[in-house]
Amino acid sequence: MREKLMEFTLVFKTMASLFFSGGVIIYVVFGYMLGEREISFSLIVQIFFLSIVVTGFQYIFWNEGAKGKLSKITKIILQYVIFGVILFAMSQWFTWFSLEWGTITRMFALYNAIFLGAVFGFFMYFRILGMKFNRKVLHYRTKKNDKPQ
Amino acid sequence: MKIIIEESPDCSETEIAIRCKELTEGVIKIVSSLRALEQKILGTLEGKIHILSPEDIFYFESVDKKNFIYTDTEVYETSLRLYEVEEVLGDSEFFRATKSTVLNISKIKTISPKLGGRLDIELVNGEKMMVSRQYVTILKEKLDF
Repeated sequence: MREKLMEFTLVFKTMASLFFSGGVIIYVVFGYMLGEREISFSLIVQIFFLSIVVTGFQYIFWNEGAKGKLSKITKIILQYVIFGVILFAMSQWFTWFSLEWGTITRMFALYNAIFLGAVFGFFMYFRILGMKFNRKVLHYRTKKNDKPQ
Repeated sequence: MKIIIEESPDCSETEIAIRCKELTEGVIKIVSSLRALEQKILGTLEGKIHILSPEDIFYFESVDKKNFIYTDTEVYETSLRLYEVEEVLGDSEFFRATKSTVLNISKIKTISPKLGGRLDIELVNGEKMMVSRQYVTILKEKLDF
Protein backbone atom coordinates (compact mmCIF):
# COMPACT_ATOMS: atom_id res chain seq x y z
CA MET A 1 0.00 0.00 0.00
CA ARG A 2 2.80 2.37 1.02
CA GLU A 3 4.80 1.41 -2.09
CA LYS A 4 1.78 2.07 -4.30
CA LEU A 5 1.25 5.47 -2.66
CA MET A 6 4.92 6.36 -3.16
CA GLU A 7 4.76 5.22 -6.77
CA PHE A 8 1.59 7.27 -7.36
CA THR A 9 3.12 10.34 -5.67
CA LEU A 10 6.25 10.13 -7.81
CA VAL A 11 4.33 9.83 -11.08
CA PHE A 12 1.86 12.54 -10.05
CA LYS A 13 4.61 14.93 -8.94
CA THR A 14 6.56 14.43 -12.17
CA MET A 15 3.49 15.00 -14.31
CA ALA A 16 2.35 18.03 -12.28
CA SER A 17 5.85 19.55 -12.54
CA LEU A 18 5.80 18.98 -16.29
CA PHE A 19 2.41 20.69 -16.66
CA PHE A 20 3.41 23.53 -14.33
CA SER A 21 6.57 24.21 -16.36
CA GLY A 22 4.55 23.94 -19.57
CA GLY A 23 1.95 26.40 -18.21
CA VAL A 24 4.59 28.97 -17.24
CA ILE A 25 6.41 28.62 -20.59
CA ILE A 26 3.14 28.97 -22.52
CA TYR A 27 2.26 32.10 -20.55
CA VAL A 28 5.73 33.60 -21.03
CA VAL A 29 5.79 32.90 -24.80
CA PHE A 30 2.20 33.84 -25.67
CA GLY A 31 2.03 36.59 -23.05
CA TYR A 32 5.12 38.16 -24.59
CA MET A 33 3.50 38.00 -28.01
CA LEU A 34 0.40 39.70 -26.58
CA GLY A 35 2.44 42.45 -24.91
CA GLU A 36 2.81 41.07 -21.35
CA ARG A 37 6.25 41.67 -19.86
CA GLU A 38 5.83 40.19 -16.37
CA ILE A 39 4.07 37.39 -14.52
CA SER A 40 2.32 38.01 -11.20
CA PHE A 41 2.73 35.79 -8.16
CA SER A 42 -1.04 35.13 -8.07
CA LEU A 43 -0.88 33.88 -11.68
CA ILE A 44 1.94 31.49 -10.77
CA VAL A 45 -0.25 30.14 -7.95
CA GLN A 46 -3.16 29.78 -10.39
CA ILE A 47 -0.95 27.89 -12.87
CA PHE A 48 0.25 25.69 -9.98
CA PHE A 49 -3.30 24.66 -9.02
CA LEU A 50 -4.30 24.33 -12.66
CA SER A 51 -1.38 21.94 -13.25
CA ILE A 52 -2.60 19.79 -10.34
CA VAL A 53 -6.12 19.68 -11.84
CA VAL A 54 -4.74 18.87 -15.31
CA THR A 55 -2.52 16.11 -13.84
CA GLY A 56 -5.54 14.70 -11.99
CA PHE A 57 -7.50 14.41 -15.22
CA GLN A 58 -4.46 13.07 -17.05
CA TYR A 59 -4.10 10.40 -14.38
CA ILE A 60 -7.80 9.47 -14.47
CA PHE A 61 -7.82 9.16 -18.25
CA TRP A 62 -4.41 7.67 -19.01
CA ASN A 63 -2.97 5.89 -15.96
CA GLU A 64 -2.10 2.21 -16.42
CA GLY A 65 -4.72 1.10 -13.91
CA ALA A 66 -7.54 2.97 -15.64
CA LYS A 67 -9.96 0.30 -16.76
CA GLY A 68 -12.19 2.61 -18.79
CA LYS A 69 -13.38 1.33 -22.12
CA LEU A 70 -13.14 4.74 -23.79
CA SER A 71 -11.16 4.99 -27.00
CA LYS A 72 -8.14 7.31 -27.24
CA ILE A 73 -10.07 9.78 -29.42
CA THR A 74 -12.99 9.90 -26.94
CA LYS A 75 -10.58 10.51 -24.07
CA ILE A 76 -8.86 13.36 -25.96
CA ILE A 77 -12.23 14.95 -26.86
CA LEU A 78 -13.42 14.64 -23.24
CA GLN A 79 -10.19 16.23 -21.99
CA TYR A 80 -10.52 19.00 -24.59
CA VAL A 81 -14.05 19.84 -23.40
CA ILE A 82 -13.29 19.54 -19.66
CA PHE A 83 -10.08 21.62 -19.83
CA GLY A 84 -11.86 24.17 -22.02
CA VAL A 85 -14.65 24.58 -19.46
CA ILE A 86 -12.19 24.76 -16.52
CA LEU A 87 -9.95 27.28 -18.29
CA PHE A 88 -12.93 29.43 -19.31
CA ALA A 89 -14.30 29.36 -15.75
CA MET A 90 -10.87 30.28 -14.34
CA SER A 91 -10.38 33.01 -16.91
CA GLN A 92 -13.58 34.69 -15.76
CA TRP A 93 -13.03 34.05 -12.04
CA PHE A 94 -9.52 35.50 -12.12
CA THR A 95 -10.34 38.02 -14.91
CA TRP A 96 -7.63 36.87 -17.31
CA PHE A 97 -9.49 38.54 -20.17
CA SER A 98 -12.75 40.38 -20.82
CA LEU A 99 -15.80 38.83 -22.48
CA GLU A 100 -15.49 40.57 -25.82
CA TRP A 101 -16.15 38.68 -29.00
CA GLY A 102 -12.69 39.43 -30.52
CA THR A 103 -10.83 38.42 -27.33
CA ILE A 104 -12.88 35.24 -26.89
CA THR A 105 -12.16 34.24 -30.50
CA ARG A 106 -8.43 34.87 -30.06
CA MET A 107 -8.29 32.95 -26.78
CA PHE A 108 -10.31 30.07 -28.25
CA ALA A 109 -7.89 29.87 -31.18
CA LEU A 110 -4.96 29.97 -28.74
CA TYR A 111 -6.53 27.18 -26.64
CA ASN A 112 -6.99 25.01 -29.74
CA ALA A 113 -3.43 25.64 -30.89
CA ILE A 114 -1.96 24.77 -27.47
CA PHE A 115 -4.18 21.72 -27.00
CA LEU A 116 -3.40 20.36 -30.46
CA GLY A 117 0.28 21.17 -29.94
CA ALA A 118 0.29 19.27 -26.66
CA VAL A 119 -1.50 16.24 -28.17
CA PHE A 120 0.89 16.26 -31.14
CA GLY A 121 3.87 16.72 -28.80
CA PHE A 122 2.88 13.74 -26.63
CA PHE A 123 2.12 11.66 -29.72
CA MET A 124 5.50 12.40 -31.30
CA TYR A 125 7.41 11.92 -28.04
CA PHE A 126 5.97 8.45 -27.44
CA ARG A 127 6.30 7.50 -31.11
CA ILE A 128 9.99 8.46 -31.24
CA LEU A 129 10.67 6.81 -27.89
CA GLY A 130 8.90 3.65 -29.11
CA MET A 131 10.99 3.66 -32.31
CA LYS A 132 14.17 4.02 -30.26
CA PHE A 133 13.14 1.08 -28.04
CA ASN A 134 12.27 -1.09 -31.03
CA ARG A 135 15.58 -0.28 -32.74
CA LYS A 136 17.37 -1.34 -29.55
CA VAL A 137 15.41 -4.62 -29.37
CA LEU A 138 16.24 -5.34 -33.01
CA HIS A 139 19.90 -4.55 -32.35
CA TYR A 140 19.83 -6.82 -29.26
CA ARG A 141 18.35 -9.70 -31.27
CA THR A 142 20.83 -9.25 -34.12
CA LYS A 143 23.75 -9.11 -31.68
CA LYS A 144 22.48 -12.26 -29.95
CA ASN A 145 22.04 -14.16 -33.22
CA ASP A 146 25.54 -13.16 -34.35
CA LYS A 147 27.09 -14.62 -31.21
CA PRO A 148 28.68 -18.06 -31.75
CA GLN A 149 26.64 -20.74 -29.93
CA MET B 1 19.73 -35.20 3.02
CA LYS B 2 22.97 -37.08 2.51
CA ILE B 3 25.50 -35.96 -0.11
CA ILE B 4 28.04 -38.49 -1.28
CA ILE B 5 30.87 -37.58 -3.65
CA GLU B 6 32.76 -40.44 -5.24
CA GLU B 7 35.97 -39.76 -7.11
CA SER B 8 36.87 -42.26 -9.77
CA PRO B 9 39.66 -42.03 -12.38
CA ASP B 10 37.51 -44.14 -14.73
CA CYS B 11 34.71 -41.59 -14.78
CA SER B 12 34.68 -39.71 -18.12
CA GLU B 13 31.68 -37.45 -17.38
CA THR B 14 30.45 -36.08 -14.07
CA GLU B 15 27.35 -37.99 -13.09
CA ILE B 16 24.78 -37.07 -10.46
CA ALA B 17 22.38 -39.75 -9.27
CA ILE B 18 19.61 -38.90 -6.84
CA ARG B 19 18.32 -41.80 -4.74
CA CYS B 20 14.98 -41.02 -3.13
CA LYS B 21 11.83 -42.71 -1.91
CA GLU B 22 9.64 -40.73 -4.29
CA LEU B 23 9.82 -37.72 -6.59
CA THR B 24 8.80 -34.93 -4.21
CA GLU B 25 8.69 -31.16 -4.72
CA GLY B 26 12.01 -30.95 -2.87
CA VAL B 27 13.70 -33.42 -5.20
CA ILE B 28 12.38 -31.55 -8.24
CA LYS B 29 13.81 -28.38 -6.74
CA ILE B 30 17.25 -30.00 -6.44
CA VAL B 31 17.09 -31.16 -10.05
CA SER B 32 15.92 -27.67 -11.12
CA SER B 33 18.90 -26.10 -9.36
CA LEU B 34 21.31 -28.54 -11.02
CA ARG B 35 19.74 -27.97 -14.42
CA ALA B 36 19.90 -24.22 -13.86
CA LEU B 37 23.69 -24.53 -13.67
CA GLU B 38 23.66 -25.57 -17.30
CA GLN B 39 20.99 -22.97 -18.07
CA LYS B 40 18.18 -25.48 -18.40
CA ILE B 41 14.83 -25.04 -16.75
CA LEU B 42 12.51 -27.79 -15.58
CA GLY B 43 8.82 -27.48 -16.20
CA THR B 44 5.97 -29.85 -15.39
CA LEU B 45 3.20 -30.44 -17.88
CA GLU B 46 0.46 -33.05 -17.40
CA GLY B 47 2.53 -34.81 -14.73
CA LYS B 48 5.64 -35.09 -16.89
CA ILE B 49 8.82 -33.15 -16.28
CA HIS B 50 10.28 -31.39 -19.30
CA ILE B 51 13.73 -29.84 -19.74
CA LEU B 52 13.38 -26.44 -21.37
CA SER B 53 15.99 -24.25 -22.99
CA PRO B 54 15.78 -20.57 -22.05
CA GLU B 55 15.58 -19.57 -25.72
CA ASP B 56 12.25 -21.43 -25.99
CA ILE B 57 10.75 -19.60 -23.03
CA PHE B 58 8.68 -16.47 -23.67
CA TYR B 59 8.11 -15.51 -20.05
CA PHE B 60 7.68 -16.67 -16.46
CA GLU B 61 4.58 -15.72 -14.52
CA SER B 62 3.58 -16.08 -10.90
CA VAL B 63 -0.13 -16.62 -10.30
CA ASP B 64 -1.58 -17.36 -6.83
CA LYS B 65 1.83 -18.41 -5.46
CA LYS B 66 2.32 -20.85 -8.35
CA ASN B 67 4.91 -20.22 -11.03
CA PHE B 68 4.46 -20.91 -14.70
CA ILE B 69 6.64 -21.00 -17.79
CA TYR B 70 5.12 -19.86 -21.06
CA THR B 71 6.54 -21.09 -24.35
CA ASP B 72 5.04 -20.50 -27.77
CA THR B 73 2.45 -23.26 -27.39
CA GLU B 74 2.60 -24.67 -23.85
CA VAL B 75 2.32 -23.55 -20.25
CA TYR B 76 4.50 -25.47 -17.77
CA GLU B 77 4.50 -25.27 -14.01
CA THR B 78 7.84 -24.73 -12.33
CA SER B 79 9.13 -24.91 -8.80
CA LEU B 80 11.41 -21.93 -9.43
CA ARG B 81 10.20 -18.67 -7.94
CA LEU B 82 10.61 -15.48 -9.92
CA TYR B 83 13.53 -14.24 -7.83
CA GLU B 84 15.25 -17.60 -8.43
CA VAL B 85 14.59 -17.24 -12.16
CA GLU B 86 16.19 -13.80 -11.95
CA GLU B 87 19.19 -15.28 -10.13
CA VAL B 88 19.61 -18.07 -12.66
CA LEU B 89 18.76 -16.22 -15.88
CA GLY B 90 19.06 -12.58 -14.88
CA ASP B 91 22.41 -12.25 -16.64
CA SER B 92 20.97 -13.56 -19.88
CA GLU B 93 18.07 -12.23 -21.92
CA PHE B 94 15.54 -12.38 -19.09
CA PHE B 95 14.48 -9.43 -16.99
CA ARG B 96 11.83 -8.65 -14.37
CA ALA B 97 8.99 -6.85 -16.17
CA THR B 98 6.38 -6.66 -13.38
CA LYS B 99 6.08 -8.05 -9.87
CA SER B 100 4.60 -11.21 -11.35
CA THR B 101 6.44 -11.64 -14.66
CA VAL B 102 9.95 -12.20 -15.98
CA LEU B 103 10.22 -11.66 -19.73
CA ASN B 104 12.56 -12.86 -22.45
CA ILE B 105 13.84 -9.82 -24.41
CA SER B 106 14.43 -11.95 -27.50
CA LYS B 107 10.71 -12.66 -27.68
CA ILE B 108 9.70 -9.00 -27.77
CA LYS B 109 8.26 -7.85 -31.08
CA THR B 110 7.37 -4.23 -30.31
CA ILE B 111 7.55 -1.83 -27.38
CA SER B 112 5.12 1.09 -26.95
CA PRO B 113 5.92 3.58 -24.18
CA LYS B 114 2.88 4.88 -22.30
CA LEU B 115 2.12 7.94 -20.25
CA GLY B 116 3.17 7.37 -16.64
CA GLY B 117 6.34 5.52 -17.62
CA ARG B 118 5.14 1.98 -18.26
CA LEU B 119 5.83 0.10 -21.49
CA ASP B 120 3.33 -2.00 -23.42
CA ILE B 121 4.97 -5.04 -24.98
CA GLU B 122 3.85 -7.23 -27.84
CA LEU B 123 5.58 -10.58 -28.00
CA VAL B 124 6.43 -12.34 -31.25
CA ASN B 125 3.48 -14.69 -30.71
CA GLY B 126 1.11 -11.71 -30.44
CA GLU B 127 0.66 -11.83 -26.65
CA LYS B 128 0.37 -8.47 -24.92
CA MET B 129 2.50 -7.87 -21.83
CA MET B 130 3.73 -4.83 -19.96
CA VAL B 131 6.78 -3.50 -18.13
CA SER B 132 6.02 -1.53 -14.98
CA ARG B 133 7.66 1.86 -14.61
CA GLN B 134 9.89 0.60 -11.79
CA TYR B 135 11.43 -2.12 -13.99
CA VAL B 136 11.94 -0.04 -17.15
CA THR B 137 15.48 0.87 -16.03
CA ILE B 138 16.48 -2.83 -15.98
CA LEU B 139 15.26 -3.28 -19.55
CA LYS B 140 17.03 -0.11 -20.65
CA GLU B 141 20.30 -1.38 -19.16
CA LYS B 142 19.91 -4.72 -20.93
CA LEU B 143 19.27 -2.96 -24.23
CA ASP B 144 22.16 -0.48 -23.74
CA PHE B 145 19.59 2.32 -24.04
